[in-house]
Amino acid sequence: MNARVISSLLMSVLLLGGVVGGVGCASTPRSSRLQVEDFQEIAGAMSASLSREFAQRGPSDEPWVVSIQRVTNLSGDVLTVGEQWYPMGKLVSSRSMQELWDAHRVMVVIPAERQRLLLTRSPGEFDERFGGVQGGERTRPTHVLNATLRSVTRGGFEARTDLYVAEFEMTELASGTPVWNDRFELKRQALGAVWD
Amino acid sequence: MRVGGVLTLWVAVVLVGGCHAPRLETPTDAVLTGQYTEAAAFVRRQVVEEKGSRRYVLTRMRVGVMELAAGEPERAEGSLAEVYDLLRTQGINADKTVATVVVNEGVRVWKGEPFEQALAMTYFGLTEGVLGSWDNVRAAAQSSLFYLRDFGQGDEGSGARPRVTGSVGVGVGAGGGGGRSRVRTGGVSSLDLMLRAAEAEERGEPDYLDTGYVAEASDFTLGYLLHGIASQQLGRDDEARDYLDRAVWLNPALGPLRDRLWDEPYNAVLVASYGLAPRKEAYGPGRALARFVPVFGSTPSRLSVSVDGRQQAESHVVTDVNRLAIDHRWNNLEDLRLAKVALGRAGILVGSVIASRGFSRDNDTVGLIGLGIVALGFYMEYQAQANTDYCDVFPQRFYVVPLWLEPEDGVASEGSTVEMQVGNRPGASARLDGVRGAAAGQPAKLIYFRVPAYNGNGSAGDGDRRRIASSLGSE
Repeated sequence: MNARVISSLLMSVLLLGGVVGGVGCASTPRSSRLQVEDFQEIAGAMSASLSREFAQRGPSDEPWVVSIQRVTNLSGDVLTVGEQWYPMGKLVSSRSMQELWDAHRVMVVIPAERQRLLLTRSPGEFDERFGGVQGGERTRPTHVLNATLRSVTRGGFEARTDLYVAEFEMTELASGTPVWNDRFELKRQALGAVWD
Repeated sequence: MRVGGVLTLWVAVVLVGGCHAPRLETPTDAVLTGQYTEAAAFVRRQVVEEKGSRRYVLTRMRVGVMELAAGEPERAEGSLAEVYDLLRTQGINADKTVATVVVNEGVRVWKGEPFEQALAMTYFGLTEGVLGSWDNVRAAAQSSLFYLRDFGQGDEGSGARPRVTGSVGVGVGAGGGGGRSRVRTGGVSSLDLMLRAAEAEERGEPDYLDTGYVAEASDFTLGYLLHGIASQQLGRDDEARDYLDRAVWLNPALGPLRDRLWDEPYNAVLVASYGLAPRKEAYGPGRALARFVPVFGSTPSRLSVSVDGRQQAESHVVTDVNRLAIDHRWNNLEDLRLAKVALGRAGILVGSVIASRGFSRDNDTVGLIGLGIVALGFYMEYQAQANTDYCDVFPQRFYVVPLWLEPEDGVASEGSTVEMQVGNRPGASARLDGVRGAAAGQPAKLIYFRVPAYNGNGSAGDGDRRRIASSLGSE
């Protein structure tokens, strides 16, 4: 290997280092806001909890249609209506929710107007059936599900930490009896002064 | 040292140099005369699409503000959501030299002075409120109440680690009584801060601009007020009381408004804005420093609101943007940081220290000599002008008024007529027809309206209009 080749290799390594360094800089921005993946994580935990709760129900039981009635954002972050319902759409369209229906006859759906919002904003991403439409007709809900997102923020000189808590409560419409509730926590941290 | 100085100056010039694009043109006439759809279209044409542009956030912020004024909250939501996402990003200015920018996809982007960021958060909240999401009004208001860096008036904290006073959000002094407003005006000047920084550096202490402040709870009255109202609408009365009390503690003139929110029924909340934000301009040696200059004066004029011909309420000014703009706690001191770096590397800090000592001993001659050296240094070594990008379409002031309007479920009703008047100023008025409040049992409606300064009926203000347009470079 002659000096010219070594020199070229060294130059390549330096250039590559520069590129990697550049990418590193580009990835510097951080936020403790919840991301889509975080909601997917919550959705997975929620469906697992529902499966445990309704393990005794079988495929031949009377179907439950659970309509997500309200999402309340009491966190410190703004979540637009679209941002609030997108994860709900992902939740009800998820494979785990399909399994919940297949095994336990519990179907979680979203209200018609929210479904329209999601289908308009993200066409092709959501299964229409989980908007509560089956055989061309909207199914009548037997239960409602309310979701509340809360957060606690700790802001320091070097980092901001947000503890998010997503709370769910399911109520039987006929009797008004709560039949299930659970809460799921996520902690997210971003380095750097809060007031940057 | 000399090479280092030249290099640093080069870096400073590069950092600031890219910001010397022509100032964005303000749609002054359209804003002042209430033609907000035109104003929104005007600022929309100035939006930059390149994420590498320093004005990526600024141009979207302007669009969101004007779209909301134009009665297009859905469009405003899209613009402001992107702004919010970038403002919410933190921890990216590890070197602490430039704090009014955010690194977006590897480039530095303007994100505004702290008061502009608080206002942007507020506008996002107002947009969400108009769309019916009081929970998001609460969240946005909470986001607008971040800590401020207070360098105080004296020599406190030099060289020490930053300290925190107050508590997150509210509770400090809540319930305080009447008397004068507790919001501050003015405070320590840029030059004072520069001299303190120079002295600290000479003593070998850590950077004064990074350590000489006390982190202090916000005094953003509008944020506390909106948080309180939103909490009340969400049925969180204890929280609402805390935030409303805090707003009144900061500005006792808001006491009657707080009482009305608790004691009288309302089905709509009118948030009205008026005027134009102060203009940011470069000044000083080499025009290296930046300051905000009022475009609309800070008068105490109240907003009178009549509903269907009957006077229903009057509001004091809740937040005066001029006051925020001149308060060092609401500024990021980007110009000072850049100037200090340049001066330090170029060996010009000596002049600062001489000046500092001269003035601290009341020896004006020594002080002036020192300032002369500083000025000369600026002139010779620091040719980069301060960046003067600012959000020119923000209003100068905000009012908040709870109202009882014809409810949405009113039978055979055409809604209410709402008339607004700022002080006695001819032309500073507006009339809205067919406005409805919330139906019984529903959360109140949030109505945002920007009162024009000249509505076409008040020709008395045309001279002022020309003056303002001229001062903004729009005429």
